[in-house]
Amino acid sequence: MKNTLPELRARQGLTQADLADALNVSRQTVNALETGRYDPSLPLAFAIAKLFKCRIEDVFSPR
Amino acid sequence: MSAATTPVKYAGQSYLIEFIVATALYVGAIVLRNHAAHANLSPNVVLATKILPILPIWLMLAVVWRYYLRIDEFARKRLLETLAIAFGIASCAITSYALLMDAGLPQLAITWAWPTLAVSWGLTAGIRNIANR
Repeated sequence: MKNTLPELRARQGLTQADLADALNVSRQTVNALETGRYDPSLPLAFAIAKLFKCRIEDVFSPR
Repeated sequence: MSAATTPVKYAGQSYLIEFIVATALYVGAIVLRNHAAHANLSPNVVLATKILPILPIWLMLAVVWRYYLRIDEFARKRLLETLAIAFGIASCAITSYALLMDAGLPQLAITWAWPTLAVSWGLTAGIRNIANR
């Protein structure tokens, strides 16, 4: 999947570490998500969408 | 605070501390076991020291399990993949050496199996970390 996480994060002025803390994941996990090396589980995808107040498909989409 | 509720960012730190303690207990138990074997002690004490290293071995398993509960889903995936690869390498290495012992290499105790898996795990994790940078 591709995602808009870097743009959404930058818009909110968050660092990868800030986002990791907010989601209770490691910074490495945020980095893996942003670079497309890891596709999140549904619960994590929902948590990300909720944090940015948008729908999952606004964050993640098929390549 | 239970392992499952520890914030993810402290998982590595907690694991390192617990792993060092468990490893130190294992090494201590092995040293005591070897010392007792050559000391003039009662058979019951010698027997107790012989089986003492079993406890820290299981403690190490508990430490890894607590780490697994603390980390996030990406880290869990990586941990399980790394363990699977390391287990495969260690199994091949141990079986190969068992066959080589029959061919004349020095006899090693079965207690070397655990350190072999630990080294294999460490090397696999290190190589994967470098490859993923």
